[in-house]
Amino acid sequence: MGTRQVATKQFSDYALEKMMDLFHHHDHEVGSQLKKTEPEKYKEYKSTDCITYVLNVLSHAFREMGDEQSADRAWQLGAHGTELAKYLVKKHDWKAVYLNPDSAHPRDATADAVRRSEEHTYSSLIALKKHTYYDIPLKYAVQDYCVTPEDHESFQLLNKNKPVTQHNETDIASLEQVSFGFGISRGGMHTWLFSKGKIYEVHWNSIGDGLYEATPIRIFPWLSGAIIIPPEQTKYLAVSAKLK
Amino acid sequence: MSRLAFLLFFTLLTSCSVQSQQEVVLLDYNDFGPQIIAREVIGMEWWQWQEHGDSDPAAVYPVKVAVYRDIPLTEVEQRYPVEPEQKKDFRYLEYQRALDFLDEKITENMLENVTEQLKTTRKKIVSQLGK
Repeated sequence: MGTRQVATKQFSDYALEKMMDLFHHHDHEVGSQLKKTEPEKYKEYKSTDCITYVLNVLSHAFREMGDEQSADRAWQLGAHGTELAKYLVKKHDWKAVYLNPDSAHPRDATADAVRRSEEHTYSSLIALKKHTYYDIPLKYAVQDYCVTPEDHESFQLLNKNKPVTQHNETDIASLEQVSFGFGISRGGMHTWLFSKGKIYEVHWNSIGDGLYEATPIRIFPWLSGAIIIPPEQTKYLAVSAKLK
Repeated sequence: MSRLAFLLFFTLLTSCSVQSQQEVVLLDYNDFGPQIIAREVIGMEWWQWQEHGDSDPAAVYPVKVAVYRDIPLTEVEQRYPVEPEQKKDFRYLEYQRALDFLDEKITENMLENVTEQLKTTRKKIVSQLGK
């Protein structure tokens, strides 16, 4: 009689389980800003927000792997998404991937917010030149997967003299195979989780159905940022995505 | 006597013009470039009393930067206090540190649009606070 081999679970497996559990079952939670403005109304609810979602998932996975120390450390650093990212890269060998749907023509440039939109092109230049994103060491870059058409308002407002960006399908398609990652936008202004092409985030001024949201990465409105993935996930990334 | 009066008047006039040179100039956050570089001298773009920003990418934070010269920081903080309830967020940046940062990024010239903006910011600071 043969013995049945049970596959050993990895960090990503535990993280994904917790991520989807909270995504589908969060009746006990409320966005932290909502709880702050109406503390009496929401006193029975547990407060959550973008980074709390991340920390709930990461700490759960660390604990399931038997690493209480790292679970605690994640919570200590958690106030700052970039510090948490650097910790995962330096202490746990996670790999950081720079993201930018259109490195030359960001889609969020508006007449009264053009300068704010420069963040995307500038961060791309730093990523390629210095291999860092807010001091997080980068190993990969996945860019130009949702290019802005020439007739778009944003294209006309920013860098309009540069040609339309060439679409890169290979790198994004490889990233969409990754089953778990932790994401940062605008240097930690917002944080989120990732699995199989979708971004999972919490909105801190919501409750119920609006509290959690899933969005395909290709159309995620935060545009540039970074996703940090456990080492076992790097096998899915295209060679072309590796920074040289 | 009239010469003395003239001398006194002239002294008073020039002393007034020296003392009336500005000590603080108020600028916008993005006058120092996008957050990825501006944060090196004035911190992150979201409200300083919060650990992170809103989950809405369109949320804006009208952070102001007080560049000051030849006055104590405490006085700048008193003139432009941070008031979370009023959504007043000030960052304080000493004159020379501001110029050093701007000169470094202008020389680096990573992105032409931003370099031109930084040059404009530098001109504004120097014209109001002196060389």
